Amino acid sequence: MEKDIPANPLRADLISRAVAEPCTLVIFGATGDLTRRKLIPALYNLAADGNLPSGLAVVCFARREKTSEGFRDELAEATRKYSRRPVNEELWRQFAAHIFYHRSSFDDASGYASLAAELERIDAHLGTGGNRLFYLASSPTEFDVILENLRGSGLSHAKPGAWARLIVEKPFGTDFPSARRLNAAVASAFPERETFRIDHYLGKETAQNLMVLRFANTVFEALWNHRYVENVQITASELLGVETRAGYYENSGAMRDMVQNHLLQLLCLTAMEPPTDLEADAVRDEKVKVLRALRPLTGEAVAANVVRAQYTGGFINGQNVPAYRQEPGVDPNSMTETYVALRLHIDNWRWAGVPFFMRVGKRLPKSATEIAIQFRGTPPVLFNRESQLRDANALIIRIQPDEGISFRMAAKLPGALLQIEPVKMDFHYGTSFGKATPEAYERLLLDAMSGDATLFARRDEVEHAWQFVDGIRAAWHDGSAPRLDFYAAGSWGPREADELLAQDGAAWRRL
Amino acid sequence: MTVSSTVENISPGLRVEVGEIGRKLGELWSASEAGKVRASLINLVIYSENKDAIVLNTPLLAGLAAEHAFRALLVQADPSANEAKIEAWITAHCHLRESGGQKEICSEQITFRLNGPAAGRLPSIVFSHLDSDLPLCLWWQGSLHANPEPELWARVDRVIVDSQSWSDPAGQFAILQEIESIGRGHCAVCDLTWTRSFHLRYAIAQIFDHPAARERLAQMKNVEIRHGAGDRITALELLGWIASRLNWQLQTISDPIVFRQKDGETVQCTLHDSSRHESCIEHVRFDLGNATARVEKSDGGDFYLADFTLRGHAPIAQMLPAGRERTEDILLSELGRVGRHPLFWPAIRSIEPLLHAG
Repeated sequence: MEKDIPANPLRADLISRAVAEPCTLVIFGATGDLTRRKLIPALYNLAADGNLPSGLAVVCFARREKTSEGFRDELAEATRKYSRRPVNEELWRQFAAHIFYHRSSFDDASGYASLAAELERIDAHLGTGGNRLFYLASSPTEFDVILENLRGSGLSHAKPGAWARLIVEKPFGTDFPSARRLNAAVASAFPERETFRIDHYLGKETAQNLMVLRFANTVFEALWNHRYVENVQITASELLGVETRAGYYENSGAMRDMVQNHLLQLLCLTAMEPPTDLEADAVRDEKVKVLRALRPLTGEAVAANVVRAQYTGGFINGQNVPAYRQEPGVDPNSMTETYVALRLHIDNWRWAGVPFFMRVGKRLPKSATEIAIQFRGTPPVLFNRESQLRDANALIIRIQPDEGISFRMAAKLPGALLQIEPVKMDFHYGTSFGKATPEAYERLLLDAMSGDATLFARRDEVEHAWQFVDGIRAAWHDGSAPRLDFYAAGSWGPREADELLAQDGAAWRRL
Repeated sequence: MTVSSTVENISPGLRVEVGEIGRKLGELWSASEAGKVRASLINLVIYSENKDAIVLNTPLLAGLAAEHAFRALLVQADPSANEAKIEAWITAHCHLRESGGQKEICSEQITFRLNGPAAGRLPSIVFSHLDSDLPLCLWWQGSLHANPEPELWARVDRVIVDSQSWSDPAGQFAILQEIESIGRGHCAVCDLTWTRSFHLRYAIAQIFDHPAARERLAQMKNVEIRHGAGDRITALELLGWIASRLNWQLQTISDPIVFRQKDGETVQCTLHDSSRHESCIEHVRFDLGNATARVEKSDGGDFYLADFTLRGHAPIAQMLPAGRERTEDILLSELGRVGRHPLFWPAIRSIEPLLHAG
């Protein structure tokens, strides 16, 4: 059994992360976009970097009638299109030879029995060691039945000396009760330590760098608290509209699509205390503490602290674009929010009194995700007598695009007059490090294969986030919060969102 | 091709007085078009006594700049010249960012030619022209000088050498150790030959990550390494790495080389010098009793084919990147690595008597 085999002495100093273990990755709903656009290209790139374990197979589980050979051809085409690096045909052939298509409906118990037999055959021939990594890439409505069948067929139970893990793709439910139901279904088949809930934002290089920035540098952490920070702004803006996702988005809206998961995760990484170590649970414990310290927004507090809006027609890059309600597949009377702005407070010692402003929206002037730490101004003496330096210092962490960090500070203009202007120090990943950064899915798949859950959401994180978001959504539906506002496509959101910050004497950063 | 005849073709840039370098660099940037950004992560000093050093290294630096921003000080020295003379040039290597930006990212290169006694003023030349607060990497091309100068080496963060270019590896490793001790633990030592074997070591380690292979590591009977013509040092470093990681003690230095394992069992190792004039390991084979493991270059040379075969079972095979062999790629790999090489000296020590054996 693997447990009894000592660590590989030849591995030392060659990589600085846990080693991915041999396994079979089983993707449920493998004919969907996620597999073609993200998962297989990510696996191919891992193979090209030499990061995949020897002994890896991929079983694509889906309903449509296909053969392994035919599906490999489809995946080859998709990988050529979506891979971040050109496809080497020799490597692709070797990699693709270990991809198999398994046709079955999700509710057919015999499909799982034959899957088990196929996995045994793969173990015997490809050295996958009995380890299984099940990936739920299907529609969330299928999760329950897949989990039930995995449990019923015994596939969710690891063989002695091996492991069985589950990767769940978001959304993790649509509200707190459904998330709790889903988590219970997951827990009935897989223990929490073998469950990996993917939020791909956490796999991005800059999101990972947030902890390094905060805890590997002396200067920032000393200032990272209510004594020095005026406010924090987290922005996720999108140039695009709803595109082809109207069916999903009409039910989801910006709050459930972005705030409940990505933005709250970024908030947690920004606001959390230093973990005791870098183990998954130590990091996630600290993130949960932030969620628990979030001041709940319900009833009238929602009216005072949350703005929701929907885009009307407007111009993007000079081109006329339709209103949300005119997009294909959208209800002409839709009340779905395409923009949300929030003022949050974290009621703990570090952040008491510091507003955290978040905004997320579609059809904004540019696509950008960033976290801005706005520092307090200097005392109103000397250079700050006229209060012109109130917002002189800001630290900006750009998540995408153009990942990097910049710092704004005040500097004297050259000349005899004393004139002070803001200047910016800029660090760009692309400028300083020429090599392409890996896609988030590459890192996350590798972590799941090596059993490192640090960059995955834990059950209690997900449930706390839903509880917070549900309070806001309840106020929207019971009428205690203002109705939907509107903003023109191509603008930076509704006037009400500007007013939200103005109440605190702040303004949204110009991106 | 002499330097003087090729400088016109591969230009080290604008000729400047040594005392004017800082000012001229400032002018260079103020006169440059908008959209050019000067970037630097390290000070990279290249020292060479090769008369073609400027011609050979300027294009290399241009290639390097695309992936790792730096301020480069390229020093071509001719200590044997009679007349003391210092010449200097400045230039910049710019490239467009890949990710669709309009900005050109530029790295600076300052080139020096030091003749005669001026070649002895290396520390003064280097320290006057560093970009402050950035690490100092010194790539010493060719053989190191005996009696290394503490004034220089005490301030170097990373020394880069290439043992493939040495005719007396045993003597040179001794000087390298002396340099490291001058740095008092502050200076990281990097041998490009060691870096060059990274992907091969990675591929070998990858084979033994598999539990079935790992549990047979202690049953090693034979190791066979086939290397490029005359490239015994690369093979020795690889063998040293395996021996030190597996706690083997060198027992016999004649052919076959014999190591003793912890349990007293012996391992026979054979190094084959192939006729191919390529500076790489072509093939490594491990005999593990009832199993074999093998790594060899694919036909195209882009990958290593690694497999492990347990007698009576199908091989577990994998293709792994072989890395690129151009010097700038090896150097990039080295510069992209922040830390040290903690396994390098143990590897060298475990095969030290073989270095003398030639």
